[in-house]
This record gives sequence, C-alpha cells and structure tokens, in this order.
Amino acid sequence: MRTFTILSTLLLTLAATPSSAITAEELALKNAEAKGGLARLRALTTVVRTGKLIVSNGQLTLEMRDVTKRTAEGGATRNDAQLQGLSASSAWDGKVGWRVDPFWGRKDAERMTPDDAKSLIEGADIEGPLVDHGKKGHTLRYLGTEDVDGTTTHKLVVVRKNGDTTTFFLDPATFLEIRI
Amino acid sequence: MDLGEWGEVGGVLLPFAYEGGPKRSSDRWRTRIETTDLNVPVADAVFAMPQGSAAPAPVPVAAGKPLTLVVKVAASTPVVDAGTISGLYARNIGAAAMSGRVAAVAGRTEKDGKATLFVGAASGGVWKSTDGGTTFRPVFDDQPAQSIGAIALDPSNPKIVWVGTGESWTRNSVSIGNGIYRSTDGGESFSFMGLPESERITRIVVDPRSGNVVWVCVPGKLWSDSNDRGVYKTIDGGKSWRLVLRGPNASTGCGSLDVDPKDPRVVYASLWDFRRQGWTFRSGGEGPDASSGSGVFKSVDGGATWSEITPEKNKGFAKKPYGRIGLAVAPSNPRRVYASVESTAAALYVSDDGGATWEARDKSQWMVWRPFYFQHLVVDPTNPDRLFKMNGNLIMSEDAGKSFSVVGGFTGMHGDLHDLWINPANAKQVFAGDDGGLWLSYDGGARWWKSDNLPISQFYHVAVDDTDPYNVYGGLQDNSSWVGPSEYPGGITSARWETLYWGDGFWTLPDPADARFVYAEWQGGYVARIDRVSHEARDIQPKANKGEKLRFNWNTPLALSPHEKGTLYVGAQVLFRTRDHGQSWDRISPDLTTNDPAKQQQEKSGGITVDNSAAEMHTTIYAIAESPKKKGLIWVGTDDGNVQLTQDGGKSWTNLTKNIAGLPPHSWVSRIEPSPHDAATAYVTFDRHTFGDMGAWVYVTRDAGKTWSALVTPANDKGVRGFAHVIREDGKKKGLLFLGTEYGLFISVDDGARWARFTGGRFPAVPVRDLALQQREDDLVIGTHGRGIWIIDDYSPLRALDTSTLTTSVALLPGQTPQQRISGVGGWANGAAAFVGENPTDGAVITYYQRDRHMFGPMKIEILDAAGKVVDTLPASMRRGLNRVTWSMRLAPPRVPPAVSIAGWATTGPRVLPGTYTVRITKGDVVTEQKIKVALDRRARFTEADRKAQYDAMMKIAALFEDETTLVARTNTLRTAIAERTSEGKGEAIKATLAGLDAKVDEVRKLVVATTEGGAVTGEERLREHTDTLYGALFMYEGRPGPYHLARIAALRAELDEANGKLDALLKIELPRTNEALDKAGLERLEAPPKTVLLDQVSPERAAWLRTLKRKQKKSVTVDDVPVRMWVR
Repeated sequence: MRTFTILSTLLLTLAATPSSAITAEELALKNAEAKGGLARLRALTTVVRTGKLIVSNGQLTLEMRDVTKRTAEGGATRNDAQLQGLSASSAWDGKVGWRVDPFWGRKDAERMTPDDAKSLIEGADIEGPLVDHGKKGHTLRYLGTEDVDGTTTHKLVVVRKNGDTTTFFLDPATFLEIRI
Repeated sequence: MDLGEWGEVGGVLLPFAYEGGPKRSSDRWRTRIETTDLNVPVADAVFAMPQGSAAPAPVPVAAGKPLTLVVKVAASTPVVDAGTISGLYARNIGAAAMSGRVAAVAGRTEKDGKATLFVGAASGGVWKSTDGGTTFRPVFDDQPAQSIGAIALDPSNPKIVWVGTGESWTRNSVSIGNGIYRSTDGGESFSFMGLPESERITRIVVDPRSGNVVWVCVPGKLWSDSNDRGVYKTIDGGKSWRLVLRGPNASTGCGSLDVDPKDPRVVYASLWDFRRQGWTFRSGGEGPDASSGSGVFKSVDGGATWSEITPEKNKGFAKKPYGRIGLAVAPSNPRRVYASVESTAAALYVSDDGGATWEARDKSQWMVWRPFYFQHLVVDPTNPDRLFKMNGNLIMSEDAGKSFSVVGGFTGMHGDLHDLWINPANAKQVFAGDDGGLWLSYDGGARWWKSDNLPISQFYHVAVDDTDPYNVYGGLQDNSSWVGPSEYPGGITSARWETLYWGDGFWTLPDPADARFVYAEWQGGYVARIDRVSHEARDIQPKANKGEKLRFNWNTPLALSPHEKGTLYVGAQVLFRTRDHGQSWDRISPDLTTNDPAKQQQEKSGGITVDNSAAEMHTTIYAIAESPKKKGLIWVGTDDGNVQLTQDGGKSWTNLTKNIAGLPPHSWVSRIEPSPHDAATAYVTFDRHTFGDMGAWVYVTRDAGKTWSALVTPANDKGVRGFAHVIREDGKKKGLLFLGTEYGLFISVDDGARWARFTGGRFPAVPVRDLALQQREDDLVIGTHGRGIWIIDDYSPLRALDTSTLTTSVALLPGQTPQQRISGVGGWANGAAAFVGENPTDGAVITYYQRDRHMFGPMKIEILDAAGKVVDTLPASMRRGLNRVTWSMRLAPPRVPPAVSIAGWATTGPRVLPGTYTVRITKGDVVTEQKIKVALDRRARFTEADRKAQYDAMMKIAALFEDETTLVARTNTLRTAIAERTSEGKGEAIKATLAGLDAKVDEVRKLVVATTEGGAVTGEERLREHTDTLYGALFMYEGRPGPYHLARIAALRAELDEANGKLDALLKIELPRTNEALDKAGLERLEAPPKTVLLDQVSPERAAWLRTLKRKQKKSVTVDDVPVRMWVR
C-alpha cells in the first residue's frame, strides 16, 4: 500500500464546509485533479474490472466483469454478470446496445431500445462526462450544496447534448463524487 | 448511485464500491470491485453483438490489480447533528389506504399526450407524476416546509414550476409554510424565492406571456396580525416582490385571485379578513353583520391600480360584509367571471361583462357550506359554462352556475374537496383532491378512481401493541382510526390496514387487558371501545350531569394506566377514570382548566357563517400521563395553559403552572412525558402557535413540578424548528429524548443539552404529532401529520452515543439480538399504482459509528463463526455518524452445474446455525470486533435441535449439488478435449470415433442437467432440477425435515452414483479404445478427467493438468465455459 501523493497535497479536513464561491468549471477541474489529473484520465484507453455484484438484500452474489474502451464514437462498454455458470451481458458498441439474458433459457442476444441503452452509453465515456465536457457538448451547472448521508456536498449537474442530465455530488474536502 | 471507497491503480483514482437502487429494497444492488486493469488491449469484437446463439466474445483476462490506497486524514471534531444520527434509517409503512388531505392540484399535458401532475398535500409535500397519475414520487422533501398551499405551472415554459407553501384551507389543525419556491427543472428540485413571512399561499398565477411575471395570493398569518399579506407580484421571475394589493387591516390578506389569460393585465382578487384563535374562528368580521376587511377588486393595468367591485357600483353583486370569496375567470371566455361569496346572502355570483354587472345564481347547500374551508371554483378551460365548486360534496354546473349537481364528494369519493384540475387536452379527465387524497375521473367527473399511491396520511396519535409483529394504531384527520401491521410478507399494502371507527380519529389505544379490544374516538370526545372480532363499537363517553356541559377537546386525550390493565383516563375539563373498560366512570378531579368563559363562546364562532364543529372547544384537558414509576401520580395539561399534578390518584391536585419561569401564560400543554426512570421527573412540551408563536417550548422538572428548567425555547432553540407536539424518553437510557415538532423529529442523547434533526430515509420536515416506543423491539414509531407512519427499527444504538464513542474513528454499537425471521409467504402483483409500505430489513443489522465519512482505502466487515472462520464479508457503509449494514446470515449458495436455466432455489444459501458470531470491522489499520448472538425467530415453533437437523439436511443437498457439478465438469472437460482432437484430426474415421465417444459422454451429462434450450417451458427435469426442488422444500421451512425428505436425498444420491458409474465405465472401456485410434491418427491421447474438480481452489493434479492444457493451446482454455484463469488463484 502506498500513500497517494496527489491527495496528500489537498486539504483533507473532513467534515469541511463547502466554499460558496466555487464555480462548476472549478469543481470539474478539482474532480479531475483528485482522480489523477487530466493527462492521466485522457490517456486511458481501456478499463477492465472484475468483482462481485450483490443483489436481493445481500442474498444473491454474482461474479461481475466489465470493460470500457475509448473509441471514436464516444466509447464502448460491456458488463457481464455470472450466476451458476450462466453469463448475462449488456453492452454498447458505439452504435448498438444489446443484451444476453440466459436465465430464462435463451442465450441469443437481443437489441436494447435507445432508452434502455442510455446508462450504458453514458458509462462508455471512459473518463467521465466532467472531463472535456465542452468538447463532448455537455454544459455544467453548479446548484449549490446538498446533504448526502451527513456530508454537505457540492451539487454539480451535467446537461448532455440530448438534454439528459447527471448530477454529481462531490465531497467538499476531496472533490470526489460520493453520489451520482 | 452511491460510491464507496476510492483506490488507486496506475496513478488513477477509481471507486471500488458502488450501490444503487432504492435503499433497503430488494432492488438495491451493490458492486464491489476486486481487480482493475488499465489500458490492456481489448478487441472491438468484445463489444459487438453476437449473431444467433453465438456467445459474446470473451473479455480478456489480464493481471488484475487490486485497488489500494491508504491516506492519513486529520480527525474532525465530533458533533451530534443530523449527519450523526440519520444513518439509522426510517421506513415508511404508509398508509395510502386512507391517504390524506390534498390542498392543491396542478397539471400539464405533454407533447406525447401524457399528463404530468403535481399534487400538493396539506402537510405532506409535493408529489409529481409523469404518467398521468399512475405513480407519484415526492419532489419537495428537501425543503424546510411541507405544507402546500398552491402549485402553478408556467404555461410558456414546462421547466418552471412554482410552489407556495402553507395551506390556506384554514381548519384548526392547519400547518404552516415559509414562502414561495420555484423549480427550473420541471419540478425535480426547488429554490426558495421569497415571501418568508407569508405563512400560507392560496394561489399562484403565471402570466402566459412572460414567465417572469407571477401573481401570488397570500392570505397571510392565521393566528396573529401581520402586514405580510395581500396580492404580491414579481416581474423578474421572483428575484423581487411587490405588494400590489393589501387589505385595510392586519388581519386581511388575499383570499382568491385569477387573471384573464387573454389579457393578463386584467386581474381579479378577493381580500379576506380572517382570524383563528384557540377557542374561536372568524371568516369576515366577528359576526354576520360586523365590519370586515374582505372585498373584491379588479385591476386592468397589471396591478398598478385597483377598483373595488361593490353592489353599489356593480349591479347585482352581493352586499357586504363578506367573508371568504372564491374567484374564477373562464379561460375560454374571460368576460365570464364567477365569484362564490360568503355573506349573509351567500351565493354564486356570475358576471358576463368582466365584473361590471353580476347576477346571483346558485345558493344551494354545497355552494355555500363552510366557506372558509371550501371557497374554490374551477372552470373548464374549454367550456365557460362548465365549472366545479369545491365543497363537502363536489358539485358541477354546465349552465354557467344556474344549477349544480353533485358529481362526487361524500358519495363516490371521500368528500371535502379542495382543488381540481381538468386536462385541457381532454376535458373528460379530471383530477380532484379532497380530505381523502387524490381522485381521478375519466368521464368528466361522474365516476372516480381513488389514487392508492399517496401516503400523505395525517395522524394525530399513534400507539403500538405487543404482538409479533406488532401492530400500529392511529387516528387521523378526517380519516377515522386505523390499525395496520408494522411488517407483512411482501410489504404493507393498503389492504393490510383496517378501519376501526368513524369521523376524525385521534387517540387509538389497544386495550392491554384484552387484545381483542381497542379504544378509539371521533372528534369532541366520542370515545368508544371497539371489538376487533365482531367490529362492534360501544360508546363509552362519560356523560354530563344535569345542566352540565362537558368540554371535550377536538382532540380529546385518552391515556392508559401503566399500572392497571383495563384502567383508562379521559379528559374533559375534569379527569375521568374507568377501571372496567368504560362500564362506569369516576370523576377524579375538579375543573383543572382556567374555566375562562370568554373562551367558551364557541356557538358564536365562525364570523359571517356560524361554524362550531368542536374544533374550537377550549378550556379543556389536552394531555394526561400517569407516571410509570409511581401509581397514582398523574400529570394533566390543559389547552389554556395549566399544568396540574396529583400524587394520590386524584384525591388532591396541585396547579404547578406558576412555577414554570419564563413560559408565557396560557401556553397550550401539548404533551407531558413522565420519566420512566424517576417519578419526580417529567418533560413537558408547550405549543403556542395559536398565539402566532411558532417556536418550540420544552421544559423539564426533576422535583415533581416545584421547579422547572427550559430545555428549548424560541430564544434558545438549539436547532429545533417548529412548535412542539410530543416528547418521549427512552425507557432504558435516561436522557435519550425524542421530540416531535411541526417541522420534524429531533433527538437528544444528552437530556436536551443538544438536539439533532433526524433525516434518515429522507424523512422530511413534516409535522410529527406523536411518537410511540415499542419497547420489546426498541422501535420508534413516528406518527406524522402528512406523511403517515415511519418506523426507526431498533434505535438502541443511540444509547451508546456518548462522548467516548463520538471521538472514536470507528466503533461497533450494540443492538437487538438478530433473529432469523421466518420468511413468510405474501405479496402479490399490485401494479405500479399501489403504494406498498416498507418492511424491516431481512437479516442481522449491524450498527457502527464513524467519526468521519470513509473515503479512501479498503474498509471491510467480516463475520466470523465461533471457530474464528470467516463466513461472510459485507460491503461497508461509508457515511459519517451511525451506519447500518445487514448480514444475511446465509452461507454461500451451493455450487450447481451449469444448465440452460437457473436452479432458482439454489441461488440463495441456507442460513447459518444460531449461535455466537463475531463482527469484525477493518478500517485501514484499525480493527474492531463485537460478538453477536444469532437466535431463532421468537415465533418459531421448532427448536434449535430441529434447526440443526434441517441444516444438516441442507448440507447433504449442497454436497449433492457439488458432486453433480463435479460430474458435469468432468464430462465438459473431456468433451472439450474431444472437440480439440476433432478439430486437429484428419480423416473421417477418427472424427467418427471421437464423435461416438462424445455422444456417450454427453449422455451422462444429460442425466444430470436439463439441456433443451430456447426458453420454452419444457418441463425437462433431471437430477439437478430434482435436487433444486428438494433444496427448495427444505429452504422454505427451517424446522426438522420429514423422513421422506431425507429418503429423497438418499434416492438422488443413488441416482448420482449411477451416473458416475456410467462415466467411469466409459473411461474404463471406451476411452482406451479411442486413445488407440488417436495414436494411429498421430494425435495426442485423451486423459481421464480428475475425479475431484475443485473449482474454487486447485489441487496439484488439477493445476498441472490445466497448465498442460494452457501450454498446448494458442488461446485461453475454457472449462465450464469460463476462462481457465478465473479458477486459478
């Protein structure tokens, strides 16, 4: 284990009260800095993760795996979750969203509706919508502070080109999101 | 989605825990990332949609680095605030069955034809529907006031929604608001925009030409003089407000307002002179002929100037004095103006020339009844002749007010209508709000559906019994008395709630002497004892002597003796006691009130229109409480400010009021809580809102009333907002206090020195009128007046929040003994339109405290058995303060062989055995542990020995599954190798030989698992499916299995042995023959798959065999359709 040096330069007085004079742009930049800096985030080409997906009040655990890749179309992503040897997948390849749901006995892939694929499309943005938001056609709005589980967070809204919004609740000390 | 710990890999910080979905629901999901790789090569084919039934391309398996990070952070100063305590969570159990009063309804038709609706609850926030009323969700819960007076949608911008807080249907129990709010995102979030002293708002109208121009009709303060009332206007979108029409005195504000939509410079407004006090009410002046500030005004220049509409200038209009007046302009013909006028000639007045002249039309019962509560008209936006009048009944006219018919209300709906919205795109669709919630009509108002999705019920009081699960009892504003379960399999639907009595409900108390009976009442002290089996209700109200009037408060107090089951107290101006369930009554006090005749003139209450409904009854007893520590020590508080005490069961009384220093006189005693720890200690809440004082007053005495200390006053509120209704003290921890006010729930862990607002489960700033402590469960049951019943399950960890705990980095806190609750059968397909109340979480709840939010590095929670073996690892909760996680108390599910569908029962593991377990939290370099004792459900009819027998049988079935998995893995392993040889082989002969062996091996596999694909209902059952069925049979009941269950295990084991025997026979005879053919073909031999294939650890033989396979293949080897690497640790 090693101490993460970038964070050690930040003020880490927890239970900090957010400054009221911050802008949306500043928050986005601080968030990127906290995650390793814009250069590192822009340099990401793929992220592959494995882990566990726990559902049904902790009574069901699936093995999960997901992979995201930077592409010219804005990214591609795929999530797999495995149970009893059957593997469910959902993916966005940059143009088409599809899923395989084998738990009812069928293994062939089905197309997803654009609505259903929305979360995948958004998840395919490998560095997140706050990085280079302008180039991506997003606008940012800072909506002040809001309590999230006892922490007074900065509330930052990303408005996408198509009008959809995602709200980031940023920890006031670290500027990392604790809720999206 | 909530994000958990952050860790670092390759210089990038990433979260490695996520949670999403509604908290505590079965839809809640958690993801825990174990390894992360950055920038590894990934082919585009991985993301491409597979064709036909081809499997998706495999995801590359890389090195898999775990996220790691440790950051030393500075400790913060511990506080006790909302963040500290709200992690306990609170669940809402409803009810939507009776729902609650709706004060405002607004809507809009979207381009796709769906209706977007907003419902303003009288004291339960704003609810939004985007599907025409099928589902609703609260959108105003983050705001500091939940009483809603008006909602308006900007006609030129669908993103703009205005909400005026403070209901204006000013009954005695009406709540308060704190100004006007605006949303710029279609009603998802709101910002405060001003008018903080308005207290209530009755109408908002947005200029259709410009959304920056908004009119607000503010009646103003109900209980006191104020100049912050009248007609306000903004022209800059709410940045500033101008009072453009004010009344002639400090009790006259705006009663109604409407704007000509075709020429918005034309505005009509009524002014309303009104006042309520604890003992009287007037709408208009003090009497029908008394002078009143009410009037009707018109402006044609956007409010710059106003002219009054009077009978003298405007022929045909009503004669003064006026009370409340409702106005409505017909949107499709703005020259048509309707006015419902409270006067001695009360009627509907109609103008067809923009108010120049009028004609009195309908004056039927439901036009003129109770105008202070119902004076509201809604005109069909497409038809100027069609309008609705809100009243006890809903009446509709189609001839411009000449005649009305009853279309709803007491018949066909709940009754007591307050607002209504007609869909302009389809005038047959009508949405109406009354005292029973929201109603939907699809035929223009002839028949109504009741919305079952608004849990905005207004409880006055709440009580619990001791059954398991316990029941919750309560009386509600205009909605009788009900009982419902605190939990039910499948959730608490409206059908689980049972109505007990009639009228407005208040105290509802289960009889501790006989669980079959309940005491309930309707307004004015009409107490009954109700038989829950026969539903018979027996009047047991104490009766007056000759010439006597008994003064029962609107909300008459009932109290049970904690010492004598069957003893009940009821308060009028004297205290009554029954020891025989109401068969007879004893008067055990003199008049304990001030008996001020000036406050006993209710028959004159009402102003212009007499209105004496018991709501104004005064000089009455309002609070009764017998000390749990000393029998016969009874506290009484009155609505006119007396605190009285008897220490001898009523033989003598002492008026202690003068000892309460600093308390203004005549302060209404809302509750007295004798301490369960000390007979001389009592906590008292005083409610002065009827004097216009909206602050909290809370006092304590520790010497039986001789001296008093103020815990909370408006001058020193310690963060407590709102006037106080109730205070309770925990039965086990002295000084752990719970306070309910008009603005929420507040908790003190240090006897009132500090208070923290509770917001767990997004509990809003809703009036908390009563609190009940379920002592067996340590549950706090919260009776809200506007959002139903909420429950904090097991609040006992609060007892451990002392100075020492608050300064620690992390500390596990003791709680209730976890029970393995029986998983009952229940629930049904209710559809989206039905509200379902939340059950307690299923599992062992682990509570811990963190001084600061956990942000970096792994934090884990492990459960260890008595032998010290880790049996489960739980994702940690990150928040500051109290945290709760749930351990399912289940083992990992058995491993089952893969097949074409899921073995449903086997997706969940069996429960662990009851016993002692250890919870261990590792947070960075801090490790803390706590022992917990897992017990059976106290309702279980089987013993721990029976449970052990069931557990042992489940383990045998798990072993069956394991061995089936091994057998199938062996066949798959061999078939994979056969396929490889086939692809390498040249010539038909060798291929045919291999195909023959493959078919025989597959036959063995098909003895174990169903194989028909396609998703159809094949009914195909093999060994695996039979094992799953048996697993499910024992899963459902945790008591001793029957001998036939055990025999079935043996039978399935025998079948499995036979299948294994068949494979062994093939390996002994067919495999050597095939290998001879392979030798001749120059191909590598097939090896017999190992007998034990352990898929979660690798035996040396397995590891060697897998390495051999990998070495010889150019791509990843799969076993059981999974890349080999996944199984090699």
